Amino acid sequence: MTEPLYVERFTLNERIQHLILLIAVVLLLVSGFALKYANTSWGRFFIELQGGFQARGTVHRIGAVLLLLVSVYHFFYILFTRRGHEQFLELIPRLKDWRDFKVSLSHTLGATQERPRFGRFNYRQKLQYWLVVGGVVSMEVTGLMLWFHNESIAVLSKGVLDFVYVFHSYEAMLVFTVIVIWHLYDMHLREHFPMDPVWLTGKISVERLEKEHPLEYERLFGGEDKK
Amino acid sequence: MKRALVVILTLLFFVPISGEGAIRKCIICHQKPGIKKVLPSGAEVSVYVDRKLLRASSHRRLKCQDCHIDVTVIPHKGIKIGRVHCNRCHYQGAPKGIPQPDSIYKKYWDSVHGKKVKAGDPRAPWCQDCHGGHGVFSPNSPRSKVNKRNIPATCGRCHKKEYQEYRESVHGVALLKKGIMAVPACVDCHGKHNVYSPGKPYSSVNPQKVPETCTKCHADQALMRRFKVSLNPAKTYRESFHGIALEFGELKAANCSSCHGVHNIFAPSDPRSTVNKANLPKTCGKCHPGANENFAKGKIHLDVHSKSSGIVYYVAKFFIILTTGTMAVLFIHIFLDLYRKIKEKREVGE
Repeated sequence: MTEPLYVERFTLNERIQHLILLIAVVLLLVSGFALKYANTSWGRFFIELQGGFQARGTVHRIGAVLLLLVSVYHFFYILFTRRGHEQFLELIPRLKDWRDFKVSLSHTLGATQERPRFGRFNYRQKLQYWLVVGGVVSMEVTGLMLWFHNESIAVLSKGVLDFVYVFHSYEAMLVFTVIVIWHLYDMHLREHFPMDPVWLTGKISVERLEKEHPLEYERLFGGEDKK
Repeated sequence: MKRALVVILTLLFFVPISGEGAIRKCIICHQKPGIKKVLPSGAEVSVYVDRKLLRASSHRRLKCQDCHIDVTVIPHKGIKIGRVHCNRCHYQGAPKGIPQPDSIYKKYWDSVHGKKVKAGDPRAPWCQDCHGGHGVFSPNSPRSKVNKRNIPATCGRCHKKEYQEYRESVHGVALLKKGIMAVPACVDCHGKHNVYSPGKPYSSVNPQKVPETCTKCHADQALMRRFKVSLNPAKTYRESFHGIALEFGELKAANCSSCHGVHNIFAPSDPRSTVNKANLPKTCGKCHPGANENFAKGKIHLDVHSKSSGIVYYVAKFFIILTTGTMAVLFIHIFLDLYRKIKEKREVGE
């Protein structure tokens, strides 16, 4: 029996979803932080870069529409396609993730030689997925309220929109920290510097699969041919 | 009838004007309250001279003809008598003691008033229209038409509606009724000789310049404490969406006077104020369609870093702590990774 060298980790559909999400988030962060830090020289630079104050708003809204489209699509993807649904089930946090985290931590600290054995998604990947879900949903809801501020103030009052405005602004910073910095570090910089090509090619070598996701490897190729 | 009166009166004093007797001679006719001249258009203009005022003024030692140089004969029917040009005496290099306002002329000719004069608008003000003709005094004198307390009335001679509004406003009442000199009169916002139409980008009342103009006083801690007015709005406006948009040239964005009014500024607690809670829906509604009473619920000049902002303050604090915490965990994570990697390398090496 000859083993294939690579297996498909992410389908083309999933990679396009990820790419659109990436573009949307970059557009939103650049245009959003330009406003948040408009009183700094780099904030002003980014506003001018986007073609002025009005254009900055347009860029932000383009990003918002992209993000809305991809998140609604993703929602239907996990709901109505077999593949999407399966992937979603794999992402649900389980008690094993908590145990994996503890093992991983004691391994890192050198307290144990045991390494956690991960399934299709490890606990960090699951956490990042759910943080993105939380971040995207909250930013979309508050963002839409700010987009249609005349209507939302009329219905909810200025005081509520102040809360929404502050939330949107500070949550953006948190999202930036978690998604951009942490996700980039954890998924790309850490083990596969400067980047893990899986997000583009969708392919992962069997060797890597066995090392990084042994449980998935065993499910695909059977546990018996361990040497 | 009146034309006849003028002619008769002037005929009585046939003698050409000369020397010391000049004022005495002119004043004989011109001190009569009813004296008028008739313009070619048929309009009548008073040419009455208040002798007492003239005698008290800065120009008390001058003769009539020092200024009215084109009045060469009595009677002066049939000769063209123009307006007085102040720069006959007030120019750079004039004898000591005479104010030499050359830089002021420059500003004036550049101003909306000067430009209108140049364009031949008969209503546009010359020096004497604001500084007083026969009643010219040093601006420090309470009798001067350009003394701070008299400025609103002086400008109000032409700008009647604005004067009416200003007189009632918080600034107007303080200056005119309470005699508080620290509040702005017209010129403090609009400029003195350099008055420009608000449409000009360099006007101090151009929408983009309004915040700067208002904060000359409203960001002054000592001054605002004296009147118990919060400094907060000056600071928070610049950080607000309106403030940032205006700074980037969006003139539609609300500036101070878009909400607080221009000449009709009142304390927010005053029911006449455009930013009184009851009037806010209407004021916000100028730009925000569908504004209702919910627009008045909440703080307008919001400072997220001030405890008085309530829940918003704690939300901001919470996020700052959460984000800092997340970053800290991230750095600990990176640090532990490095630590582990170095350790593994050493073990392999041994």
